[in-house]
Amino acid sequence: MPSYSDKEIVKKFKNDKDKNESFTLILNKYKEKVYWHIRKLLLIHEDTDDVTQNTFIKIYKNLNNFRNESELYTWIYRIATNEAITFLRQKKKRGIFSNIDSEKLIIQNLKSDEYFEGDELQLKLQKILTQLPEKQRLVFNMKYYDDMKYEQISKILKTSVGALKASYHHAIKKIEKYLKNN
Amino acid sequence: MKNQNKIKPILNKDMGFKVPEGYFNELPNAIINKINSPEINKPKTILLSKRILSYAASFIGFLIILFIGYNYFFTQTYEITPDEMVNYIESNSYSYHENEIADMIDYEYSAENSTLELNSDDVIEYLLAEEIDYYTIINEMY
Repeated sequence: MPSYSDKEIVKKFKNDKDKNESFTLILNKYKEKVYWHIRKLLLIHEDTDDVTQNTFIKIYKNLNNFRNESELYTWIYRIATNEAITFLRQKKKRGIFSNIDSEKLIIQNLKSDEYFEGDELQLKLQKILTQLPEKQRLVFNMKYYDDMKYEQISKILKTSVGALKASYHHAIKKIEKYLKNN
Repeated sequence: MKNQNKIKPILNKDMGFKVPEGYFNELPNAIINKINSPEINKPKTILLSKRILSYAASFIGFLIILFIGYNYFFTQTYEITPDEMVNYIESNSYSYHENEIADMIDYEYSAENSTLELNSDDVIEYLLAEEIDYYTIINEMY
């Protein structure tokens, strides 16, 4: 099977008869990256599944308008991030708990989730991560777990590299302090 | 980064999450089925009542602006004071017939309705100054 660059895939997509084939290429290339990026924010598989599917539906509906001003993966990651953040905020609004209580609830749900088999330490880590501000958490996930470069993260989150480095530094400090005390 | 190295031994990159068996193989089909479903392709409908209301609100706003603008630009009146009228007539009197001038006098300011009170001494002084024939006046009065 020939491999296509992102630019070629986008070009194929804009040709109606190749639309489905090129979209399948995008799906196969990015499905796991998008899924895990969202999963690290939402934690629960069912929620992640919903948001991942919605992300790709949005990509399908808007890819014709994509102007190659940024990289395709940057654009995809940005959509996925926005969908995940929107989902989290809507979930918090629907819940009757304050910010802190909703984090406790998330951890409780994670403990009983059949698709989580982490140990006590990993559960503690998720606890501290859910308490980080949104952006810090995103930066930490993308830098530490996804090994992304600051320049890539900067394009996705539209934040300067300096601010990202500061965010990451603060996140590490908080995690370190929390793990030491617990 | 120093701090990252402090937590690395504690955290491994495996966060303890897993997915159902075969999930990623089935995911593309699930998404494509959703894309092709009639619900996703249904065009967004805006309630007709909402649309009508928005048009009505825009129209009312337009009328209000029109009304204010009309009042401001077209209905301002400027009242000419009697002094201004006199000055105008005097400076342009050669072009007016006396009847036209008489017509211009506002009824309110006509002698019959004048509330100016004349002092009799003032009258006498005036008559003396103008050298008016008294007998003629008296004869005209009776």
